[in-house]
Amino acid sequence: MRARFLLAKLLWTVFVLFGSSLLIFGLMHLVPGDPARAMLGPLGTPDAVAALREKLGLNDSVLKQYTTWITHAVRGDLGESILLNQSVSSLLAQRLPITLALSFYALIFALFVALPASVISATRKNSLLDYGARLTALIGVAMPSFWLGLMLILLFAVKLGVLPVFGYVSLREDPVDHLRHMVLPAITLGAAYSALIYEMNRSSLIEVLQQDYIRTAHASGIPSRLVLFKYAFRNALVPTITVIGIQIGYLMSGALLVEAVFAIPGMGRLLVNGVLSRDYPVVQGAMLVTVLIFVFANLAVDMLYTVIDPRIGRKR
Amino acid sequence: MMSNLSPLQQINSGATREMGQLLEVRGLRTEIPTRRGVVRAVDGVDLVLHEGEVVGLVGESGCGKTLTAYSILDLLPKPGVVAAGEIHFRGEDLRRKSTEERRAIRGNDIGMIFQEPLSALNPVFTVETQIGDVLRTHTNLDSTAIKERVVELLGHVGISAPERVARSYPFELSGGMRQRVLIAMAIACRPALLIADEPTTALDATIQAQIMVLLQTLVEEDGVSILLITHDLALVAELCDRVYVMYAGTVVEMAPVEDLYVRPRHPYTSALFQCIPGFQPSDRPLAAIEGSVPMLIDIPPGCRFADRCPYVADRCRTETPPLVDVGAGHRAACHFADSLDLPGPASEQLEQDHASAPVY
Ligand SMILES: Nc1ncnc2c1ncn2[C@@H]1O[C@H](COP(=O)(O)OP(=O)(O)O)[C@@H](O)[C@H]1O
Ligand code: SF4
Ligand SMILES: [Mg+2]
Repeated sequence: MRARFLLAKLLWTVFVLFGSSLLIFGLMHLVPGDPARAMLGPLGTPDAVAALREKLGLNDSVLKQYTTWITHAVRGDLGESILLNQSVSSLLAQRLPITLALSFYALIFALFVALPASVISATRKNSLLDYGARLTALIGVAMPSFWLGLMLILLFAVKLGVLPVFGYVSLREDPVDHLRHMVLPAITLGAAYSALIYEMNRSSLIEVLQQDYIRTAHASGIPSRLVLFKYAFRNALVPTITVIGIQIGYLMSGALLVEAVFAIPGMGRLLVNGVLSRDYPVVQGAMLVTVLIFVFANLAVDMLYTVIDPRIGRKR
Repeated sequence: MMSNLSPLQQINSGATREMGQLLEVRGLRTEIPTRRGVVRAVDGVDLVLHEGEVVGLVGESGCGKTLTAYSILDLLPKPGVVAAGEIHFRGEDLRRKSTEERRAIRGNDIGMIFQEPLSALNPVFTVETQIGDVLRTHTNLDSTAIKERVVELLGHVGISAPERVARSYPFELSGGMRQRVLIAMAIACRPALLIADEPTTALDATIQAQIMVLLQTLVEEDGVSILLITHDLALVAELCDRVYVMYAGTVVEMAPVEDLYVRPRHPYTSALFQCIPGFQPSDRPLAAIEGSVPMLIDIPPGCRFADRCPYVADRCRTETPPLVDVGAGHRAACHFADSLDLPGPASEQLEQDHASAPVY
């Protein structure tokens, strides 16, 4: 039963990936005019344009272009950057780990704040503490992340001088400095995410705490802590995980902005620069990888479901 | 056993006097503050249960049975509180105990089973984990011993494949099976008292009968005392020694079950009997009691059943009838308890139709 459930999810994933690849590929052809001309800009000579068209295979049929692109992509060959004179895959190999690290720290921060806060709120529903937490969460969702980033830079980096203003140091170079550089970006990226996770887990925990099986646990004399953290929390986590999964997409797009604010050379920066300079192979490659990560994160969430809730994917 | 007797035990009269008192509730008042006022869901309930005894707590839905049980166990949902009264268990006043002490009693000395076996088990943990946690909470058994005990308990409540059921999740089990699992959980630590709140209401008839047989077995073989909460007087006949009839937060009648069946003394009890299919005289259609339980906010003086009582008199609307002795171990709260000749299912005019005490 569960194998079939996971297989269905896997097929769906393949389908989504296929659709996304069509979209990403189509994007290049939706831009009005000649992509080669657009890439080279007003300074491109007709000869250069013709050469680029040849190099990008733009003279082939659209179907051929797509199949060429996708078969190469599957083998890890995403073409060459037009501007940077480097293969797209080697560019991604440099930039992706940075973005992944940033997203990972943001996720850790978000969970670290949201889950305990949601427990406090749910068990003290409508108390001052609960109201305070909810208000903070509301602000967290509403506040634009670049603004939050700037405020954090002003406070911690400029005023207090305890953290670096921007830039990036790799983990291998200097782990401590790496973390110091990641603190503010991770908080900036994770704040809104955290607020969403908090809200979801709070309401689902409140709902779960009213269920009959919680009453059974209390009636059996199970200590309140165990009831809360084992019996209630696991059930509450099911809808929360959905939010965590869906919002991973948000995290990836949010990283774009945060990397710009903190001058982090991640994939977001690569993508933004790629778009600005019309480096289409880079844009396509970066988007494809983003979709890939998003889709597999969701697949992982689906698998996590089946671990947390035995009912999912099984016959009732 | 004798040393556990409550000092209040002497007050209690009746045939069961020589047995040890296990539970004794005096003047219990349970209140729930709401926007429209304070709901007095339980208002001055006295209740005694002896060791080895099965006592029924009967009444329509909403009359305060469940909240009485929750008050005893310290399980009242917020913002409900016990506002007054004493709850003696084995001679000790539970209301004087700490929250922690009362938690340790639940599941260990007093077990409880609920109406909805479907939702009363945690959906994401196996039966083994859930019963195991009760054992882990109250005993020092190691994990192998716990596993064995869980299987043993499941066998004890009549589950034929206990090993398999132990590893199952609740959604993999039928309703009757889940109720058995809940019973196994409730008796895991061999409690002296089992509170069963409508244990069969959500089950179909065959399964109902099986669960009742199981409860009977627990009483006879394990010596468990049971407080059986139900709206169904037919169930009470099968299992109970004595019955308390509740109406609108108060006890209106208390009697040994045979006495109640031969001659109920309160019009409400009689009306409840009329609601049981097969119990009412054959020339009358199946009755439902007219009207509904009054709101339990700012209750006026007088008999709470007055608006629905066929025998109501002027006096009933001004004077609250006290719960008084009307026979050996038989009490009723009606001004006319002595004079009214109320039909019960086992009274003589019905004897032809129902030769024996009603069988479930
Ligand atoms: N949370 C609550 N808020 C207000 N009133 C309640 C609440 N829970 C129960 N009550 C009231 O208390 C009364 C007794 O309820 P309950 O003990 O559940 O009845 P029973 O178990 O006999 O059906 C009901 O009339 C109901 O209106
Ligand atoms: S006291 Fe009056 S109203 Fe109440 S039950 Fe008796 S006869 Fe009916
Ligand atoms: Mg009830």
